[in-house]
Amino acid sequence: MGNCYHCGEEIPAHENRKVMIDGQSRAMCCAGCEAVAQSIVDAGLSNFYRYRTEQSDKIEPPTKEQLNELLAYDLPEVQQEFVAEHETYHEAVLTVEGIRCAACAWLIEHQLGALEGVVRVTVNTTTHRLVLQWQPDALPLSDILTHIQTIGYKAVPFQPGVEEADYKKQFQKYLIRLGIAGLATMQVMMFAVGLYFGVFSDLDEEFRDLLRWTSMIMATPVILYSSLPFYRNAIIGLRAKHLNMDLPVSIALLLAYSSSAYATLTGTGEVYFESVSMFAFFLLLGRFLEMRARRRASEIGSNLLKLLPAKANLVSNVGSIELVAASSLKANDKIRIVPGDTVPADAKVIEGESRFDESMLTGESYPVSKRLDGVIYAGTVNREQVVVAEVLRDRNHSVLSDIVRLQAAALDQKPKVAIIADKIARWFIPVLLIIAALTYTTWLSIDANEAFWITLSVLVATCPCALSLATPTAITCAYANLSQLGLMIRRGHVLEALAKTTHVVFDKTGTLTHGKQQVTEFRCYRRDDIERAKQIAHSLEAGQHHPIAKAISRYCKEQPILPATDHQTIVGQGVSAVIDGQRWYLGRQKWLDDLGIKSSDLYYGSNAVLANDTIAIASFDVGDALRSDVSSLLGKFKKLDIQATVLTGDDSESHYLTLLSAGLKRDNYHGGQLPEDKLSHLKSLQAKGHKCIALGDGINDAPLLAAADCSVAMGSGTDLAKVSADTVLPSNKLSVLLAALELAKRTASITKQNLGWALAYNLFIIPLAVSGYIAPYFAALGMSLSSLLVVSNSMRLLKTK
Amino acid sequence: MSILYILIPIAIVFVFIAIGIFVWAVKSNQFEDLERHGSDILFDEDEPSKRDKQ
Repeated sequence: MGNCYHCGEEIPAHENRKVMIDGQSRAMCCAGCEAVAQSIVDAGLSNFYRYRTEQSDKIEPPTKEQLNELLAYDLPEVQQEFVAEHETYHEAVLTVEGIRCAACAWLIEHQLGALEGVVRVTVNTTTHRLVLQWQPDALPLSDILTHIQTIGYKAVPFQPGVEEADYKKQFQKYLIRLGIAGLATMQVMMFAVGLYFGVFSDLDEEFRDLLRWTSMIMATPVILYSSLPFYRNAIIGLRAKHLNMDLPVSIALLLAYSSSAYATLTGTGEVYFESVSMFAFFLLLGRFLEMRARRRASEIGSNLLKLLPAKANLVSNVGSIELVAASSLKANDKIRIVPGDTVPADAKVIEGESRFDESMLTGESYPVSKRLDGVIYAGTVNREQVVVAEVLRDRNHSVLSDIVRLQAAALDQKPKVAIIADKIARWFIPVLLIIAALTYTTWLSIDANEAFWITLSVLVATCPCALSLATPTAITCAYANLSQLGLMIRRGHVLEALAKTTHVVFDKTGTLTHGKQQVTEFRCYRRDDIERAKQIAHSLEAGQHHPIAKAISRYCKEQPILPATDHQTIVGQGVSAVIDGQRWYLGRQKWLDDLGIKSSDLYYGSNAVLANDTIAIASFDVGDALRSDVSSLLGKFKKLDIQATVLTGDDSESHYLTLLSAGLKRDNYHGGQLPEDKLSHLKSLQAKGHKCIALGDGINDAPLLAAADCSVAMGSGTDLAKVSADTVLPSNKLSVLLAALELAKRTASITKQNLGWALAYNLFIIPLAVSGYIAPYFAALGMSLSSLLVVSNSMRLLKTK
Repeated sequence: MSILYILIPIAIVFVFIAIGIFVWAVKSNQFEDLERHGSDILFDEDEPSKRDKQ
């Protein structure tokens, strides 16, 4: 058999596809891969296969509808949201799916660079993004997107997070501060070696002063430029009337630096330039790593938020159809909605009938049927047939935008998580300052000349270096681990919130269940009939639009479709057709009873029973199945003493019993919940002192997700849910949540160990420093060692269990 | 030992040059994508494509 040369997947037995690459015939697994490989070769870019270090993604060939969808990105109203217009070209940032290694970037840049009208393409393989500059008159954006699809990648505009631009600026500034601190610290350390050796062998005062002066020159940018963020935070904290970790850091840095400068100028006392520089460098490094982890998480997170064009097919008075942006729709406009389309505005059906999937709005898992005069809502999806509808109100007043407003309000009231290090700082700092003051006054009466230097060594030795590294290093390592687990963090302080969780609130449809209709049970009592039954069911249901029919065809898709004649569809009952000279029926059990078919009652309760004209032979249960890991998840929560609540929009009691048997409490299941009900339920839990995680996927969950202490949106969920949530679960695997909870707990305990060690070290060193036994090099050594210990302890979080 | 009076200032000048280069590198976005550009030099320009020949 062998594997596909393009994507590396196994080639199915019946496929025989080959592409000539570099003079060799290579096997392909599917039409998608074949087309992509062929267009890469045709463009003269077959070197891609030589350069790449990873296999590419398997590609489904894009359907005509998908390519048509891209046309909407050419609408000026849609482009307004993501295109920057320059004098001679337009610029847009796109997120690209499928980038694996540097060769992908090479391939995309070369493919697009050859197009007329493209000014410049830059691909970033770290963020999986592409900066595109093009001339819209020469080449529409949709053409460029199509070209990217032909070589096997998918590029779409996305919604960059609000914090993102800030993050980038901050990141570069921090990097410069860090670089300067690093380079200067190396120099100061080198001079310090000279100074320390001078302590043991007699160093001429002349050279000692030279080394001190040069150390001071190198340490100055570290203190006056690199360390600025610490001072700023300390002042911000003081203004808000609470003491944070940056205050003792700033005091220690500034005092040690200015006294060393004084010692240098007057040629007396001790200098601590190397200690302050190294201290500043370590702290900056910790903060920098934490910020980089957060920046990366936020970038990858916003890549998920694809900017889907809210478009509409406007029907003009003469009956022609025009593609417009949804935001331009007004009341009484006529719109045409084809199957698979999202309804662009609240509207009333005036022609045709169809079923609409409202699960993201109401939690109802089964598509709702809408006939003439039925009201359809913005954000729901047409599942069956083309309808024409009249817009009731513009988009800003739709039910959807009401929920968006509720979500924005909830986000403002989100509870803040207290950071443990700041709590410690609140009492540690006053104590430290009092000790320093006492030391100074006591030594004044013993030996006035030494008082200042001993006080300084107290401040340097107790400088909370390890203390302030304790949290950032632990969080950085935990972030790295979380992203490996497959949980994407979009906002800070998720770990702190996860570690304190006492209650988990779930949405049902789409979160605990898969959110789409599928065959949950297939019953067939005679083994010989199984294959035949599936073949016939597939042949009967092929091409049908009803959700049950679609679920059954999907379930039987491995079986070939047999030729059928006299195909009849009885609305609300089922279908029948003649296959191999025999009439077959597939439909409701009651319908078959009425037709007088035998033993259909064996299949009581099934959604669809299959029968020939005398006897029933098989049946299909169709429903929205629970995800496989739900039961074990609820069981584990019980063990961890975490309560679970299910808040669902639909009124039906589907899965109620299964959830109860998995360990859900009877009182913790609430059906028929509107978005505002979910929100108020969560708030009442929080008022009782519960720390809540919320999981959801739909538009109706957005307010809930926004208000929870920590929230998780399913990867398959709607964009609004992902925007509201703190984290996104792209794999949809609920078990990741358990691993994340466990990791958060571990992070909390490692942070505590770190803080404990840092405090213990300080307690040990304070008496020595106060009594004047600490030499400057010993203070510096102790500080470095305790910082190293803290960092290596945090590294343990990188290990996955 | 008086050679130190020349060597140490030289060392300091070097450090400032290094800092200058580093700041320039950061400002010209060279730290935005650390995976990619290392391999650029290994990738040849494309062979003449079939489109060009036609």
